[in-house]
Amino acid sequence: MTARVGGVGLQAPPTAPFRQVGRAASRIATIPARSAATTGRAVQLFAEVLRYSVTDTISLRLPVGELLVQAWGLLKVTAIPAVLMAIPFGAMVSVVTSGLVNQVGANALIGAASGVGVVRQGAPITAGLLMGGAAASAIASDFGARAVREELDAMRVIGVDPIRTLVVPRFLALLLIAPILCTVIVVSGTMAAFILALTVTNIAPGSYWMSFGTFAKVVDIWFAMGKTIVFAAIVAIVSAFRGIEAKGGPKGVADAVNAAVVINVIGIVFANLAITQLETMFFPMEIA
Amino acid sequence: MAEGYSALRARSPHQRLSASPSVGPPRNPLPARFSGPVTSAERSIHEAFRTAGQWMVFIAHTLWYLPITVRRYRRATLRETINLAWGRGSLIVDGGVMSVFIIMGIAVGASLAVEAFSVLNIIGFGALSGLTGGVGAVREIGPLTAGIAFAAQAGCRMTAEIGTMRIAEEIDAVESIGLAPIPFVVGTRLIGAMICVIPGYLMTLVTTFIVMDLVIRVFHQQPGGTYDHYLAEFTTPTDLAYSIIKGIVFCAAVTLIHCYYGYFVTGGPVGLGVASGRAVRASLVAIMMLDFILTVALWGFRPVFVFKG
Repeated sequence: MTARVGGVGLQAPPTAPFRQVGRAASRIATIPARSAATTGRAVQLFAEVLRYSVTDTISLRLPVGELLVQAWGLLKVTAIPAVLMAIPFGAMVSVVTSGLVNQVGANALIGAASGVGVVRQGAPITAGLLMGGAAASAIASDFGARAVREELDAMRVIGVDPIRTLVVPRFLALLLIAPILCTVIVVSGTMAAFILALTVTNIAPGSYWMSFGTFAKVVDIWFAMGKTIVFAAIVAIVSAFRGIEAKGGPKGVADAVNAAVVINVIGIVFANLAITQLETMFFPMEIA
Repeated sequence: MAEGYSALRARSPHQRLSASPSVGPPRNPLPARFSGPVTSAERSIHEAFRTAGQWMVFIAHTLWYLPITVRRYRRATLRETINLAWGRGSLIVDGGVMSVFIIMGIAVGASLAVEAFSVLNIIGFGALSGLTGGVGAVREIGPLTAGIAFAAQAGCRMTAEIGTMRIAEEIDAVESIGLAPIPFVVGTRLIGAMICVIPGYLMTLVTTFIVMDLVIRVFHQQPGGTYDHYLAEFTTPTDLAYSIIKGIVFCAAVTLIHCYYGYFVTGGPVGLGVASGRAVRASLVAIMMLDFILTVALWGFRPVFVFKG
């Protein structure tokens, strides 16, 4: 009844267990080679996208119309959820820290918490997750459907490179909306944190902003934007790659979307860890 | 050539409509300026009510039929549980939710430790980072991480599987022979998710603690005693219980949201991808909203911390 592939309940001949074990062993043995090949193809795609982004910008052949249409479409699916995620996040940071700072009598530190929590970590991660969930699904399902319907092959046959005409505009569109999303989240998250901080503790607005400014620097905003742009690049490449490699019917498209979302989320958290570590190493925090 | 191709693709529906007005939809008897906004507003209100009703009926059906799932579909539930937990045996792609829980726990725990240490160290509280493990990880970051990992891996898979059944008209076939598909399709997955989430969530939390410990004590050479002291002081059994409640609520919400979008998918392969995107978006927003609501509901609007010594 279900459409599940592989698994339990096969009517197997007596020698089947040995054969199954052998097949499983050979499958496991080829995993490293296959994952290396997949990674290699993704890196190739990334290199080609970068090349066309640069050369087509210089030779003015960039499909600007398509780029703007894509950017608007992607912004539409991510902007409102971004605000809806940023507000509870900022509010949550204020509520949790208010208890701690009240206890140690350092009320002013609540601004610092939202400066660090929202600007340095919350905003880029939230923007990345939304791009890796919503925008990635849009890109991967579009490419997956085109791959399954053999549109991409048809384009290659008539001499149109799908990477140049389809992937590059989406890649640049995602890079374009990344700072916008980050800004939207920083502003709405900080406002929510500020309003909640005033509500739950009796801190003066001035001392909130003073401690906020003491801990959150302009360089933090730049790092937040930079992180979001890196996440956008990961999301664009992974989703386009998974979509292009989709095989089979509707299930293939769904699997492509599924794989794209998971890889994006994991890629984003690890990229975040790496960039956070670099930031604390080369731009250590200091109190102004 | 290339631009022309993509532009043609993007605009063709509009062009078709505007080029041949005679074959458009039948004219409304009222003039456009009276009928237009009123009907569209009416339609959107109608649509909103219809969607809300569909959600409520879907969730009510799922919960109402849960006993049937438990009685009749034990084997299917077990199969779904295994499928959710381990997938097809690989780590990330086509894998299960357990490996993603652990991988996310490592990355998030390390980020939290690095960030907490860099902030607390400048005000001379480096070893106080244990407090962010006991408070931040247990109360907020752990449940959020688990919910997001669950949505990304298991949730997307549910939308894909159920959506494929809907597109292949398997669900309609089951309905047409008079059986209710919800207990088999959604109920088994809800129970499977509930079975997976408690061990999976605890594993995320433990991984986070181990990684934070490693980063702060080994990489930053902080005194272990102070770290342990603050960690143990703020990791109370009540907090852990509340934290597990949060994780369970997030995963249940994610399961229902993703099953809903998969169950009512329309429009073929592209529709399936669009539904997946909507489901991820909705579950991310729901996780954040529920997190704030549960934080306030469980620990209060002005949480009280007691420093025992």
